[in-house]
Amino acid sequence: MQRSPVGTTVLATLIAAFILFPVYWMVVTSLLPTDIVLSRDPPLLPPLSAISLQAYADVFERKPLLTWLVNTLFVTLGSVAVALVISTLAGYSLSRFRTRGQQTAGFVLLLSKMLPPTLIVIPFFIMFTSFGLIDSLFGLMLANAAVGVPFASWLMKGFFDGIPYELEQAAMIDGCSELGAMRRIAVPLCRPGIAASAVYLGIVAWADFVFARTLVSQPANWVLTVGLQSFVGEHSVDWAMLMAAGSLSLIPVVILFLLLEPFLVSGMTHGAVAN
Amino acid sequence: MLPLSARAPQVGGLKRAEARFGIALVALPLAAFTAVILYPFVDALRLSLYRYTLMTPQPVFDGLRNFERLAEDGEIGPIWVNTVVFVVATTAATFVLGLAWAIILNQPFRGRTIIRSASLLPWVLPSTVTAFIWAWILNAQYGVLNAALLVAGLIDEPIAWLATPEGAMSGVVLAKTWLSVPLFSAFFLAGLQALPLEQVEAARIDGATNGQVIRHVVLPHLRTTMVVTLVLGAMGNLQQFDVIYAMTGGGPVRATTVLSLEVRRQAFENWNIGLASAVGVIWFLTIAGPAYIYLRSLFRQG
Repeated sequence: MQRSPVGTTVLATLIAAFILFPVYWMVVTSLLPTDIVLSRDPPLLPPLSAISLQAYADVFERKPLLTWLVNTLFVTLGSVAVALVISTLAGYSLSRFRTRGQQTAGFVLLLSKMLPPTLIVIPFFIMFTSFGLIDSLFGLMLANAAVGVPFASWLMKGFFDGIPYELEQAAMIDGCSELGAMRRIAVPLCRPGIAASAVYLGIVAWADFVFARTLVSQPANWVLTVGLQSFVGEHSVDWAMLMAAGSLSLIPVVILFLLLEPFLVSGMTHGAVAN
Repeated sequence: MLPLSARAPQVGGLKRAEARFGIALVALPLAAFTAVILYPFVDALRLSLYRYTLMTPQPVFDGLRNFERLAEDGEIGPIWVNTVVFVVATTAATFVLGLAWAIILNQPFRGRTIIRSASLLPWVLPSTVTAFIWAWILNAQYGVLNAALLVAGLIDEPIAWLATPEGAMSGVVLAKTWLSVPLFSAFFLAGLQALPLEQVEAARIDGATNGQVIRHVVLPHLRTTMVVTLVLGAMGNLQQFDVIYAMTGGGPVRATTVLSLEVRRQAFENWNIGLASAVGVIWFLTIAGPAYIYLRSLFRQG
């Protein structure tokens, strides 16, 4: 700690490089031709002359990557929209009304954190089969929304707690309805919370594998994470193609992340640690 | 304008209306939650008492037969041990590394914001992608880890990391640790930033060394954060499925089969829902301990 700031910068950069190396390695592998990828001593820095986009071309040619991306996007955006409305309402209620009902509701919502998706997916499967929601992207969307709501509600509660209720009371005295006061005063002030919840919900749905693998079987309805798994064949794995697809799957998350990172971190820590 | 005397009871009326409004708001998500999560969950627990397989598509009450079957089978013991090994190793490694990284990130230095944001990247990767990256790094023939160890002269020939029980377990622990360090350090960092600087300065003036400052000022301040992070992390690791499934599929020879993989295997490979639910019950009981600690610490705080 008595190190000079320059020393700390160097140390932190080294550690960060170490942390990021696997991602770097994925991108490098995706950019190299097979004979270099499959060698005993792979070069740490890719020789610039050897760089090729062949793996990317192969991925698009041999695998329905675009279909997977569109499916994933549909499921993610849909479940974020559904879950965001529900958890905003729930979070507002948990924050503003401290009756026994709310406290029980909050407790029950928290409990759901303890329920593993791998277990929940069994009754989901049974339920979805009887409702005809199996093998449907709409069903997958609902499943992802359902598991995202509890924690997102707690996130929203934390953010609503930071907005003084007096503002809404003032609006109500001026003739605003309760719903109007929430919609016109609290919700607009709570934009950072909505952003944080949206990123959280987006990551949950984008990265989901358990539901997508279990509730959907038709290849036409596969999402990215399930599609990626199909690269691992019985006999061999096409590593360059797999790494290319993995690198592509990174792009949307990284963009979203760069835009919303400050909200996300404050939100996650807020929701889990300090209520 | 109402006369003053008439207003008082109306305030009470407003309160009641507000309360009703509040209940209405929370009712929708709560009902949805009950229908979509809670009921299915309780139902899954109930099914552990039923014979419910591909052969008997209508559940038949079977008492504790599924649990007896698990005991006779003898596989659930090693799987439970695998789970505990994975959870303890991963949680401990993530805890130590996450805390160390947060302490470094809490120092003022140039480029801190960028480095902090960049190091969060592993956390937003889809976990299947994480699994494949690490499977590739640990690849026996072409993996970069073996190449590096060979060059450094630490090993004489490549190690088939994912083909041995110990190697595969280390591999999944490594991948999951890498995935979780960013989130842990974000939690710790939030805790550290709430530490009043005056306390650190006061300790320094009293002649405390760095180690003493960390031990006597920083760590006690972080107590709650540490408990919550530890418990949340352990619960997350207990529920971990994607990374292990995509990386090793539970192998070699079940060496990395944890409870989550076993539930899935029984349910969707053997199509024995009853038995899968019984495994689920054992799993849930294992989670309940840390869960209780988490909830208690949250509510004591609130």
